[in-house]
Amino acid sequence: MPARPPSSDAPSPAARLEGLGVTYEDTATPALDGLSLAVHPGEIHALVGESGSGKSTAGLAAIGLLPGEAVRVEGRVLLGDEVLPADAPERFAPLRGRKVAMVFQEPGTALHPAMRIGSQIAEAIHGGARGRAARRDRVAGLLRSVQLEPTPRLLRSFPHHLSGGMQQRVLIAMAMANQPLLLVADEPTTALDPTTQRDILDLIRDLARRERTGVLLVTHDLGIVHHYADELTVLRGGRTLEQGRTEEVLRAPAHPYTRELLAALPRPDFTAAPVAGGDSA
Amino acid sequence: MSGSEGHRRPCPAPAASPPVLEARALAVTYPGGKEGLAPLDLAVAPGERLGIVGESGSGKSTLVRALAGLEPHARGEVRAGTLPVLDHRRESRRARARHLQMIFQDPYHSLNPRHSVRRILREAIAVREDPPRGDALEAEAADLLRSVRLDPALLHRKPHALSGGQRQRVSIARALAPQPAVLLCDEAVSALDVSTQGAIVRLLRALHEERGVALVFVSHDLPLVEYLCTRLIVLDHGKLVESGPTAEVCRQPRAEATRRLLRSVLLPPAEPVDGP
Repeated sequence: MPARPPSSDAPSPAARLEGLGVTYEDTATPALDGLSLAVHPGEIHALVGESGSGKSTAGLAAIGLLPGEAVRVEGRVLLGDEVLPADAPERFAPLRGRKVAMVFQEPGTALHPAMRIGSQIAEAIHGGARGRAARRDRVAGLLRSVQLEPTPRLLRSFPHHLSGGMQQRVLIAMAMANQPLLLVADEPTTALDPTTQRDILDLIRDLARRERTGVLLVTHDLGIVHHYADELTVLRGGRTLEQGRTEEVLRAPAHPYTRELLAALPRPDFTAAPVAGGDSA
Repeated sequence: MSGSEGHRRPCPAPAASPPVLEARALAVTYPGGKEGLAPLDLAVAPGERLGIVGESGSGKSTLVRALAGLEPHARGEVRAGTLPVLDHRRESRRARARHLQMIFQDPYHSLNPRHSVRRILREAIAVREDPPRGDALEAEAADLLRSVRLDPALLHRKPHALSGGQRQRVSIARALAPQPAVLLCDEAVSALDVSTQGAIVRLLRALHEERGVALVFVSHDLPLVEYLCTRLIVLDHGKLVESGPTAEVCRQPRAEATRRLLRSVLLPPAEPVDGP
């Protein structure tokens, strides 16, 4: 694997995945095979791949939420001082929502459909805000941190009253409520409108920097990686093909598959003069 | 909304030959009075590649469904060549299928799961006015698979035994089977992997060149539309807000909706340098 060393002045990581391996029932080949990576505080580490690459499995393993069909699980997750064997989901449970949090692809299904927004956010807050007034202030502060005005109307609304973009903001507020060390974001904008995508990604990046949270961003989109990720790991068929600082890897990919992904989509330059013809292989 | 100043030229196609698809005062109003699409005129010239873009809720899927005769609340007039599209009698539908075909976003749900690829293609070929029979029919099905760059050995497979990209290629082969003059593609690649998306848009462009079939390509992905389409219309909240040659609209957008879409584009770096 043509790995590159991390930049020499990197601080100690917020989280580290070590030798993660996952095999699902009924398959001989592992869905994920020996994945190791570090996520640094305030940075975004992108896990890039196509379907079947193991990127979502890696995201789930990082928060101890692998499905029951995962029969062979290897490796460990380091969260601050905690060393968590990947095959011990019970060790992750007390840390989820506190030291580690997650934002999913479908915001509509990640919120409780019959619970008001204000209550859902309040429930996500652990420790700190004691008493009603303090909690209310904390909820309001969290909503403002994701650029939502904490009006009584919003606090009393149900998830289905909100757009997909607003739902995702609420989920980000909940995920960040306890300043986690690691935020796993699995395709957080794929189900949203393209024009909302940038706002949501800006928000995740800015909050992560402010709270010194490391973000593991699962995505198939190299455009997003180029604009938002500090580091990336390219996965295919569960194996790590390439890893390094985004800028360096995308400028000079070492693995042919990374080049293939970069060249996959015809990408015109909107600022250049119109070009006639073009390839049609 | 920028209204009519976004129009560089009237939306009807520039070509002199009669359009393969034409809409006049096409509108969609849902029961209860909610407007899905404000009245618009539109024409697609033979062999043209037209893009329809907009955010979700902009009306682009409503428009393409109405153009295909699949929108029950459509009003106005739509003609596929000489055939009225908003006429839902069985005979009209069959005649229209020879002229106009559609490719959907999800190839898994648009192919009959119980039929083999062979049967799916044979039934689509049978729509032709004078379809081939016997060995000629068999050969035609194999040719269609080759034209979408699939091995004819896949004729005996069922859709579940194909990858997402293969299924979408079969959908395209099926759509081409009646030899239509125009192919409507509704978000035809957005459910696919990145490398498959690239392969499918390149295939559509190649098929356009080989067969001269006109394409109407609906997408929220402006870079893909720019690659595939020479002309573009932009919808916003059910209204047509801008239209013109793709390159011009993308480089000098006039409508706010177009600017929003352009701002949302996140491209990877242009060209990686050679060798590590």
